Formats: sequence, structure tokens, C-alpha cells
Amino acid sequence: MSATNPDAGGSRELASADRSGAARAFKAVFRGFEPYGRPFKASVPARLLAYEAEPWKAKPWGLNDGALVALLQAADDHDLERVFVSVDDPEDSSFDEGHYLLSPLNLENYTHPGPTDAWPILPHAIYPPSGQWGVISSDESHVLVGGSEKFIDDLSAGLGKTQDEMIAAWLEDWSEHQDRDPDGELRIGDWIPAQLAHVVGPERAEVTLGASRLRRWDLPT
Amino acid sequence: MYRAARRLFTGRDVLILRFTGSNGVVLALTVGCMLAISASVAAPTTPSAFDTRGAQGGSGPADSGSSYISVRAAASSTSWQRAALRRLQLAAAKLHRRVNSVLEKPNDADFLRVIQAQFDRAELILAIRNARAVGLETIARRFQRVLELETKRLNESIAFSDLLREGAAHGERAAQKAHEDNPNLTPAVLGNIAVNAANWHGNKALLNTTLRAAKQKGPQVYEIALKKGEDLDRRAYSLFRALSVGSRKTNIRYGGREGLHRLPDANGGFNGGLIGLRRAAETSGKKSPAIDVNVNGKLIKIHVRHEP
Repeated sequence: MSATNPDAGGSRELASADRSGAARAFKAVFRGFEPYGRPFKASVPARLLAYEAEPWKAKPWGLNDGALVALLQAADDHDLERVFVSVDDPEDSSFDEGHYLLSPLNLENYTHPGPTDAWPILPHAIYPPSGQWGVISSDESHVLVGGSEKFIDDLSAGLGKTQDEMIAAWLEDWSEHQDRDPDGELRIGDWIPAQLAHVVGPERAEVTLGASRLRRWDLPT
Repeated sequence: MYRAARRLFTGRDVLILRFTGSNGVVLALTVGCMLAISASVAAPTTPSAFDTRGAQGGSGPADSGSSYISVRAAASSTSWQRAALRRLQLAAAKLHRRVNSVLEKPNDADFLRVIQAQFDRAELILAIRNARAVGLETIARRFQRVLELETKRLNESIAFSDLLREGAAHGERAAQKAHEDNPNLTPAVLGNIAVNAANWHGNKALLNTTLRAAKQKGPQVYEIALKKGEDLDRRAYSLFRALSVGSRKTNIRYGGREGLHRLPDANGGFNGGLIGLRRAAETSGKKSPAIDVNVNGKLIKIHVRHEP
């Protein structure tokens, strides 16, 4: 499945005329811009954590090529014609900066940003005007995706790795980061348990965390 | 042309350009950018024999010829003047040591060390201005001479002069091209183009040097490992400032406390990319500072961490 648009314009900063549409779409899927928290609204039925353990395949701030291709295959063509990219909540930030329109969302537009586009070097949210799904990236190489059950199933299949495999790799890497802070002074990764529970639910999160080497994983009550 | 460009700069840059002399435009703006931050990023300075001689009021020659300054001139001075003199001595000693380190291995002198020397030059310039402000005109003049001598020694470093010369030549070519394209451009605008393009050359050289020196972890993520005990934030900030020479802070409020900086481009404008710094406390993850760069669509993240 691929999206084409005769008026394709690559990436551009969002015009003020698009403001209300972007804010509405953002609010349809996200609670807030929280790459290290609980970003999705309760109404978003399915969520996924994508993580690439191989450093040479990972994208420092966003979707790597494989994950983007899987997303393009899972999403409806219509939702790919115009896609918003925001480095902050469009309602909370001054709107003249940090919000972009990718038209269409494809490998070329996403991987070849403009020389002064800010979103490629910052955590960013990717969401279509329909608000049917949303992606939020971090600057630690993990990406959260929310949408319908079918969308998440299709995306998961396209990634070629199960959710459990990706989460296990993610927790193992963070366990190593915590190893260099044995006393917990730096509070490295303290946000992980709450985020994992937000993605896979508290019961599954507890089991997964218990099986990991993560030093501290108190789940929020 | 370059003098005319001063009209376009802020007061900070105007001050610097006055000090540049024949060192070229790269030096000019480099020092200009460093001035405002030199005081905050300078490494703690251990008093050297050079300082001691000054503080003891001895009369022997110092390492750098006429760099010796007697403290007796300020024997009846105010505490402000004594502090100003101490600042001068420390800054001069630090610059002297730095220039020595550059000259020791002129063939290996990378751009980062040259930039560090520029920090130190800027610090001494500030100290001289400060001394003048508190009435130590005679002493300030003598330290001005120290500054000139150290600058001359620095210029003798092959790598230093080559980098500056290359940068200045590139800037000049960019300005010539702009003039051919639009003969109506004023000398001030052309000077601005020359300075920006020269700084692009410096950014490019330093970025390449940095990435070569970094331990490659992947195609876009690099890591600079420091010895345990070194201040990660301080080194990251120093590197960020060096990489962003000639940049202009954008109005974007993201990318850490420094915000994102717009880098000059090869043609003398400001489309050369974006750079941001996140200090350890400004990261949500591994609590180590990182520098984020978008250079013409090439995305680079540089982590600054301690050695394992």
C-alpha cells in the first residue's frame, strides 16, 4: 500500500490555517506530548512500543526505515496524504514553530528533511488529520504507536518482531544503563514502568518487568 | 569589507572585530561568539609559575618575554583593581599554556584545540577590558602586549593559520559570488556573507574532526567518552559552542536550555542546519548530555559520556 499525491509538497512548516485541524487531530489520539510518559488517550484501543536494539539500525529521534515502511503499509492511504508532525502539543505551544506538514508521509519526505527542520532532531508526534492513529518518538530510540486493534496488528506484523521481543530488548538496554547508576541517584529510567503499563496494561507490564534485569520497577498504583 | 560588516553585528561582535587585526574573519567571529561565554565555560585555572612571579612582584623575565607584570603597581589599589589584576594574570597564564600546547604538536593541532585557544584569548581580552574599566590603564596596556605576543605565537602554528586562511578564503569566495549575482549588495551585507561562510567552513572542519575522534556507534549516533571525574556538561557545552560558531539562536524553544541554533551555510546565509544541546538534567533518559545536529538533512547525535 502506498500513498501518492499529485500535489505532494514534501515537508513544510504548518500554516496557521492548519492550526485547528492539527490540534483537533492531536487531541483525538494523544493526552499530551509525553514521549517518556503516558501519551495516549484512554480511548485509543491498542498501543505498541517499537524499539530497535541494533544501534546501526536505530534512528536517534524517530522511526527507522523499517518501522516507517511498516507504518505506511498499516495505515490507510487517505491518512498518509497529509500528516502532521509536531514537536509539542499544538494546543500548548505557540503555533509558529515546531509543527510541520508532510505531504505525503513517505520514506523520501521523512528521511530527507529540510536543512533547518527542527523535528528530525527532536522527539516528535506523527498523526494524520483523521486522528485515527498516532506515533510519538523519543530521543532514546523508542517509539510509541497507538491506534485501532487492526492498525496495531498490521503494524506489528510489518515490523517483523513481536511486541514481547522489542520490549525485552528495550528493558535489557535500560538495565545496562541502570547498571552504571547502582544507587539510583540519577534515577535512570524511572519512568519506564509507568510507560510500559500504559502500553501493554499493568498485569502484562508486571510480568514483563519481573522477568527483566531492571533494578527498579515499581508500577504506579 | 569586513570592517563595514561590523555595522550589521550586535555590540558583542563589534567589540571582537576590533581585536582581530590581520587574523581574518574566522578568528573575528569565533572570538566574538566565545566572548559572551568564556567566563562561564573556562576551566578552573591553577596558578602557574607565571602567575606567581607576578603576584610576588619579582623582576625576572617570564616565559613569554614581556608577559611579566609587576603587582607592585597595584600595591595601593582597591579590591576591584586587585581582582582585575588577578584576573589578568590568570587569563594570560592560561592562554600561554594553551598556546604552548598548540605549538607542541602543530601538525596534530585540531580545530577544537584552536577553538579552545580562542576561548582563552577571549578571556584575556575581557580581562584587559575589565582592567581598563577599573583604572588600570598602564597594566592593561602591558597585558595587551602579552595578548599580541601570544596571538603571534598562535598564528605561527601551521594548522591554525591554515584553518583560518582556508576559512577566510572560502568566505571571500562566497562574498565575491554574491557580489557577482547581485552587484547592488552593500559592503556590509557582503561582509556578513563572508563571515558566515567562513564560519561554515570552521563548523564543517570541527564537526568532521569531532566525528572522526568519536567512537562510532552507528551511522548517526556518536559517543565521546571522557575519563571518569570529568564534567560531562561542561565538556558538552564547550563542544556545542565550538560547533555552533557563527550560529544564530532561533526562536525555537526546544532542544534544551540553549534552544536550537541555526548554523551558517557555505554561501554565507543561515541555512546550514540546526544544532541543539541538552544537558544531563535536560534529558529524560540516560542522564548524559547530548548534542543534536541537523546539517543539511544529515542527522547526528553526539552523546558525551564517561568511559565505562
